[in-house]
Amino acid sequence: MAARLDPDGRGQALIFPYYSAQTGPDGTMNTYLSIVNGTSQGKALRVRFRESRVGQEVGWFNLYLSPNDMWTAAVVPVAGGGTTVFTSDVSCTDPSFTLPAAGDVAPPPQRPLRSDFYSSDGMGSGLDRTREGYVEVIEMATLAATTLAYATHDSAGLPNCGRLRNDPEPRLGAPTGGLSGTLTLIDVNRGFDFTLRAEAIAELSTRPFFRLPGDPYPGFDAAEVDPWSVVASGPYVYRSAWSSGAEAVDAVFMRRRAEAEYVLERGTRSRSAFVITFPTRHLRLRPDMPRAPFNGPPTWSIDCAGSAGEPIRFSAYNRESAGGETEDPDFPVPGTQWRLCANANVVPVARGDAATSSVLLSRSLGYSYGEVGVRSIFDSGWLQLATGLSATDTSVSSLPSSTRVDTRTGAIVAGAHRFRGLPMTGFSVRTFENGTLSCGGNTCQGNYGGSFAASYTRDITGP
Amino acid sequence: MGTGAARAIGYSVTMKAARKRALVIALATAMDATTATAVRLDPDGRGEALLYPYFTVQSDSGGAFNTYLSLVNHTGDAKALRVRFRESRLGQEVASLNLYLSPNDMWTAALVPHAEGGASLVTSDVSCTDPILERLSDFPAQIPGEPRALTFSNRHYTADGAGAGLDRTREGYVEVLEMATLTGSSLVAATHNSPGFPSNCSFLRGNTSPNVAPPSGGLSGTLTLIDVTRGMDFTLKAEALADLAQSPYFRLPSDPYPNLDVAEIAPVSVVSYGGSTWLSVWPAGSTAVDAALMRSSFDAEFVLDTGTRSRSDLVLSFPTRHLGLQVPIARPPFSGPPAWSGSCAGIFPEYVTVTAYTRGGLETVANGRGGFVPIAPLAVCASSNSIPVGADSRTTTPSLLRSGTAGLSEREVRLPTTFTSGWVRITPVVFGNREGITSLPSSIRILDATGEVRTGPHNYRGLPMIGFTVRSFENGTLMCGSGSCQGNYGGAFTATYRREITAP
Repeated sequence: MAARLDPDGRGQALIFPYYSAQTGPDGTMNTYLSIVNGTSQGKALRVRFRESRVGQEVGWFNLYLSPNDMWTAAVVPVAGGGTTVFTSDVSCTDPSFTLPAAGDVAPPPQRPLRSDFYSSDGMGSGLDRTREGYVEVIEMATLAATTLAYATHDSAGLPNCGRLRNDPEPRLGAPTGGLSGTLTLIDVNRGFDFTLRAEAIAELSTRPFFRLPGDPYPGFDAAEVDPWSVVASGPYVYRSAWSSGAEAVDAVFMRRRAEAEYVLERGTRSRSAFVITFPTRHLRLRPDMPRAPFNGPPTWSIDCAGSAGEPIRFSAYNRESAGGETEDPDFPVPGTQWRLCANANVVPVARGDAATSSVLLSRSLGYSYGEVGVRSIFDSGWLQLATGLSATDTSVSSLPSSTRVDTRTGAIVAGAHRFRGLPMTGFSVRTFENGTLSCGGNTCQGNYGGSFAASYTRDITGP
Repeated sequence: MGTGAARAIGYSVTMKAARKRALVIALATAMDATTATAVRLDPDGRGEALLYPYFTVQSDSGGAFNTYLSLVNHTGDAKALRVRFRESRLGQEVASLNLYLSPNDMWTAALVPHAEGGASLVTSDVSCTDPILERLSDFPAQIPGEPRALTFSNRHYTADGAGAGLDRTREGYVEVLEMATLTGSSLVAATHNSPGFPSNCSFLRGNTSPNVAPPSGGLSGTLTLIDVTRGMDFTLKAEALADLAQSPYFRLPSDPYPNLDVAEIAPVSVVSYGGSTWLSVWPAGSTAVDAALMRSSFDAEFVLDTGTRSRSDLVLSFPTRHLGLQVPIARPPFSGPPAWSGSCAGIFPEYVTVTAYTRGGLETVANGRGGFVPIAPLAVCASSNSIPVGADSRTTTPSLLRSGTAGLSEREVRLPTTFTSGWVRITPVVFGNREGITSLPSSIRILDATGEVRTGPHNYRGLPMIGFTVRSFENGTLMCGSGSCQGNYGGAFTATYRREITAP
C-alpha cells in the first residue's frame, strides 16, 4: 500500500483541520463532526482531539463502527474554561462517554477534553487550550467474528458495547478504508456556520494495529503504516519510498504553497481568516530535536517570540492581480520574522487601516504578525502562503528505491524524490453581514458564513 | 497533439527491479512525448479546467437564490479561458464567454434572476471578456469597473423538447476551460496596469490569432449558493481537472470548439485507486475526462431533524453528459443520449438505486423500492439533478434549493419517517452501457506495493459524476436584542465516491 490523499473523500484516516469551542463577546463557536463508515465492514477507529498550539492530545477514545454506520458528535465549551465532546450516538466507544452530574436535564453523554498531556509543556496549562485544535481519525482495524457481532447494531439499533470493551481477544482484520467525514464550525448567536469535508488519507496500512485506548501507539508513526506515498504533480506520478510511515504521511501533505481567497468588503461587513494546520507536526522522534521538514520542535507563543516556528511568507493579491508580499505594508514591524508557530494556525486577514477580530474567535492564532495585513485599498482577492525562506528551504527526500512515472510517455524512472514545503492542510472562512434584512417587519440578522478548502502548489523534483 | 486525440497511444513497459541508481526502466511509446499529458482530478484543488457542479437563481415566495462564482489564476501566466454556463436538464449552453486573466488575477461574478424570467451574470470585474458585457441601465456612463451583465439565452435549446422557456436558464452548472496561456502582445494586452485595469481589451476581442502557448493550469474556483432572505449560504470548491492538454486550443467565443472533447485533450487518464495507479489510454480525450470523473457510487449525508427544522438536498451532476447531444445514440457510459422529462418517462434515463442508512447503520432502499417485489429502479435524467430528501409522511418535500428541474424520476428521495438523519448512497445500475468503459490494451497499472507494472485494458464502472449535499438548520428561537432573529444556517459538503476499476 502507499498513502495518498483521496480526491473522492474516502480513506483509512481523516483529518478535520480545525475544531473550535471558543467564545467571544458576541458569540460562541461549536463544532459538529460526522464520520461515515461507507463500507459493509465493522471498524475500530482511534479518534484523537489535539489542541491547536503544539498538537497535544486533549481527548482520545476508540470508536467502533457497525457496517454502514455513522457517528456524530458536538464539541462545546463548558463552565470553567474547558471543552467537552458530547454525542447522542449509540456506537460503542472505549472508554464510554458518561452522563454529567445529576441535575442537568436529559444530558447527552459527554467526554470532557483534558489538560493532562500539556500541563507542564510551558505553553499554557489551562483548560482554555482545549477549546481549539484539530481532530485525527485513524482506522486501526476491521472487526471480525464475535467482535464484529458485538459492534454491529441490532434491529433496535444498539450494539453490545459491554462485551466489546471487555473482549480479551478482539477478532481483527486489516483496515480497508472507506471512511469519510464532515466538519461544521457554527456560531449560533452570530448566525454563521462554516462547513467542510474532512481530508481523507487512503491506503495507509494493510495490517491491523488495534490497541486499547490507554495505549497511544495507533498514530501516523505506527510501524504498520506503510512507508510509501503516491502523489501526482505535473506530468508525473511519484511513488516514493520512505524510512517510516510517518514520512509517507508527511509526503502526501507536503505542499510548497497554500492559497485561499479573502473578502473584506465594507458593504457586506465581511471578515476572513485562513486556517493552516500541520497534521503531523506533533510527531517527533525526540522532543528536543526538529524532525524534517519542520524547522524546529513544536513550540508556540502568542507572537511566536522565542519559538522556532516555521518560516513562511504571505503574499496578497486583490481581484485585479495587484499585490505581492504582505509584510504588513501599511504598518511594517521591523525585525519581525514571518512564522507560523501553532499546529493549527488561525490567521485573520485585515486591511492595513483596520484592526480586525478573528471571525473564528481564536485565542491561539499562530502567526507571528497576528494577522495578515493586506493593503488598505484591497477589499478582496486571494492570499498565498509560501513555505520556507531562501536560507531555510524545508524539504524531505525519499529513498532511492522510489519510482516516478512520466504520464506523457509511460516511462518509469527509479531514484529519490525531493519534496519541498511543509505538510499542511487548511481552509479559509469568509462572512457576509447584511444588516438590512427584514423578517416580518423586524430587522433580522442576515449573517452568512462560507468556507473553502485551500488550494495548493506542490514542488517535487527528481530523480 | 497535432493529429488529434484519436491517435492511439501505446505504453509498452518492461519492468525490472528498481535499481539503486536512478534508471530509466522502460520507455517505449508511439506518441509524441512532448505533446501529451494525462487528465486527473487534483486533490490540491488546482487545474486547467474547473467544474462548478451547480448554479441556481431559482426563487419562491420566501426567497431567491443567487450564485457567486470566483476564479483564481494562481500562476504568473496570463490565460485565455472559455467560461460556459450549461442549463441543468440537458447541459445545453445558456451563456458563454472568453475570459482573459492577467497573471495572479481573480475573476468574480454573481448569477441573479433576470426580469424576463431567466438568469443573468453580473460582474464588476475589469478583466477582459469577449464579448464585452452589457452595460447596466443603472450605469449610463461608461466608467471603469462599472457593473456589467450577460443575459442567459435559450437559443440552443428551444427545439430540444425539454422546455423552451427562459426558466431553464435558472439552474445548471458551469465549466471553465483553459484554452491557452497568452504571450507577447496578447499577454501585454491582458495584463492589468498599476491602476488595476487591463492594458488593451480591444486588442484581444475578436483577435483570431492571439499569441498563445499551451495551458499551464493553476486555476481554482469557489461556488456560493446564497439565499439572502432566508439567511443561508452554501459554499464549495470547484472540482479541478489537472494536466488536461499540452497544446493550446484558443478559439473566438462564437466557436463552440473549446469543450471537454477537443482533440488537444490527452486521451490518457490517471486515477489512484485500490492500491494501484491506473494510467489508462483511451481513444479520445473526452473519455479520459469521463474516466477521471467515473465513480461507481455517490455518497452524501442528510439531516431531517424536526428539532432543527432541517432539510437536505442532493445535487448530482454529470459534467460530460452534454457531449452526447450531438450524436443520436448513447455515448458510453451513458445509457442514452441526453434527454429529460419531468418524471424521466419516455426517455433513456440513467437507472440508479438509492440506499439510505440511519446514523445507527439501519438500511433501507429509498422510495419503497426494496423488499422482495422486483420494482423498476429509480432513474435520474438531468445533467444536473437537484434531489430533495424527505420522509415519506410528507406528500411533497420542499426542495431546499427550489429546483425546477429535479431530475429524479420520483422527484425526491423518500425515506421512512424514522430516518431523520444519516447518509444516502446513489448507485448506477449495471444496465446496457453501464458495463462501463474499457481503456485500450496499451494502458498500464502500477501496483503501489511492489511497483510491478501490468499492461492491459482497464474497465471503469459507474458514471462520470460530481456533486454535493446541502443541509439547513433553522433555529427559530434566536433572540437579537429584544426581538427574534432569523437563526438559519446552511451547510454544503462535497459528496464522497466509490470507484470500481478492474483489469480484465
